[in-house]
Amino acid sequence: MNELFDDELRRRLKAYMEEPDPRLWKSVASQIETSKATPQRRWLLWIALALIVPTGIYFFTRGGASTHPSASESRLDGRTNPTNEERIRDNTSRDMPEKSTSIVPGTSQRQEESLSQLPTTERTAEPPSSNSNDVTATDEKVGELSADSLSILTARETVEKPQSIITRNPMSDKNSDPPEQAQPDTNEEEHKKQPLNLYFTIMPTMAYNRIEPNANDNLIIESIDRLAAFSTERLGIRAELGVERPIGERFKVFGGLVYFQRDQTIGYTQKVVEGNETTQGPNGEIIITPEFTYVHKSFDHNVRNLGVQVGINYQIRNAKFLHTAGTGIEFHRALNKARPEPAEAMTNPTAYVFYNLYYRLQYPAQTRLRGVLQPTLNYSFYINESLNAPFYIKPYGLGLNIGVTYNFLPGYR
Amino acid sequence: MSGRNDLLSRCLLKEPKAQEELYMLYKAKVMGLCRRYARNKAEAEDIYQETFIRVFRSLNQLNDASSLESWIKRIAVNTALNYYHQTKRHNHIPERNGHHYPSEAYNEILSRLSDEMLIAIINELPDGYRMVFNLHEVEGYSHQEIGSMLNISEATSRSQLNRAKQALRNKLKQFGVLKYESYE
Repeated sequence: MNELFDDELRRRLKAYMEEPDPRLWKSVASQIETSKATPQRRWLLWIALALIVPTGIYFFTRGGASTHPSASESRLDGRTNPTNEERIRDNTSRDMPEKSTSIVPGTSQRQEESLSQLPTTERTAEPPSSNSNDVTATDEKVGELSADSLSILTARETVEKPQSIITRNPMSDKNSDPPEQAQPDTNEEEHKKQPLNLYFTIMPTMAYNRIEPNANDNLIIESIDRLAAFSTERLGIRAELGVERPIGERFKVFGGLVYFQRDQTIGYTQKVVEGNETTQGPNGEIIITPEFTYVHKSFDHNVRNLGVQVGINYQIRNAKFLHTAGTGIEFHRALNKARPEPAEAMTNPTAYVFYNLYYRLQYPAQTRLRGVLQPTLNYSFYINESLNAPFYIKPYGLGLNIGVTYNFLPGYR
Repeated sequence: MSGRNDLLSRCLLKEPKAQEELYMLYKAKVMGLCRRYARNKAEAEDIYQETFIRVFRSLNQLNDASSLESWIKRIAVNTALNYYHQTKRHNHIPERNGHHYPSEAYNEILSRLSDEMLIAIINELPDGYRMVFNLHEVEGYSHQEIGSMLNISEATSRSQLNRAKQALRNKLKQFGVLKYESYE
């Protein structure tokens, strides 16, 4: 062989590459040390935080404003509660329709705004004053001021600070809310008005599995790695899009789509026969004693499910927090196809049926976007195929969902 | 290079994702090397797995990130050597000193051979021949170094290399004849 041949042979052998079997990585990965908090789980944790923290801030900063739902949401006549400005306009138009549009000729817009901030409640504490120029002396309802008194008021305002009217009416803020008895109990009526609500919910979910060794295979599972109760390995994400319809004062039926995703690596220790020790017994029989070794392996349990769900919710309490108990049934279809892995002979199931029983706490009850805390008892009573794995995995147990829900129908409760 | 350093840093922190990235970068090269040193694919896979386990376990001993690839290859060669020592068999093939083709004919045969076929021919060489051939011809070790690696003398290393080349020639010749015959 000449030098050219040697060089060519060397070049080809040196450059030779071959794709290894993908399963070899799993074998290598199971035998090397890794940090516990895997980065692929961390993104789920970040998403959860990104959802929960801004939502919490939003709710708590908006909480004060929304604690009086009747102030902005409902009246018996179906209109929203009027602002002070509207009250003035309402009253003036009702009582003095012919003068309301021209209170004082030449009154500026600013003055009209000052006027609009007048309180609407009756002021009976002070007796009538003879000084007609003193605004505080009037015993009339502010909303029923005569054209003259309004003229005086606005005339005074042009001289003094425009904000002074507010400062001279001490009951303004306190009494700006309508009286309690004026708030209609509109729950029932709202239910009648809101036949169908579209909702969207997204919830990072701590999920739990029941893992049982498969007794029908030839593999000996010595132990299955335990996972901490609140490990990020348990974290999955669940999203729901559906419609809900009241069927009574407290009952609502719902149905829609559900998406669930979770990746979990299940580590286990397998007992493997390494060799046999053959000895001869006292009666000449041959005794074969197996020698065992322990191999640590892992199995990726990847769930990407799209499903449909139907169920019923029972409203326990409707106050600042909305308390609901619910139950439902879900049929899931795996989006990731069953992937046979000949070496481990493991596959993920392709279909599940779940039964759920949950308690849902939503806050605040008045807004469209609400925070949700939902402990769920979850039981998968059907999986379409037995895992051809050393163990069975059944999503089962208590799940904890923390997330947000968005109701497309305003004021839906 | 900063990307490589970052990857190594993350691997040292034992981040599974980084470990997988590193594995993906070198898996084909390492498997190619293992295939040359092993008798068959199963053996190559054993050497391959052991190589990567050693790589990840001793990554903190790597001083220079720029020499990562050669460091991994060295580990792979050492793992193959260990495997050879544990499982070596003293098999020899009879040397056939039959008809020699002109050197151009070997070049022709080689050019027609697929990489897989070439590896298969290398795999068929006796263990000792294959080790010396790979270490000397591909990795570039001297006979002195090979001698200490395989616990043989320098002269034995030289003679094993010559015999390896002769065996390879015979196999190529055989392959070439078979191929010619198949064309007839």
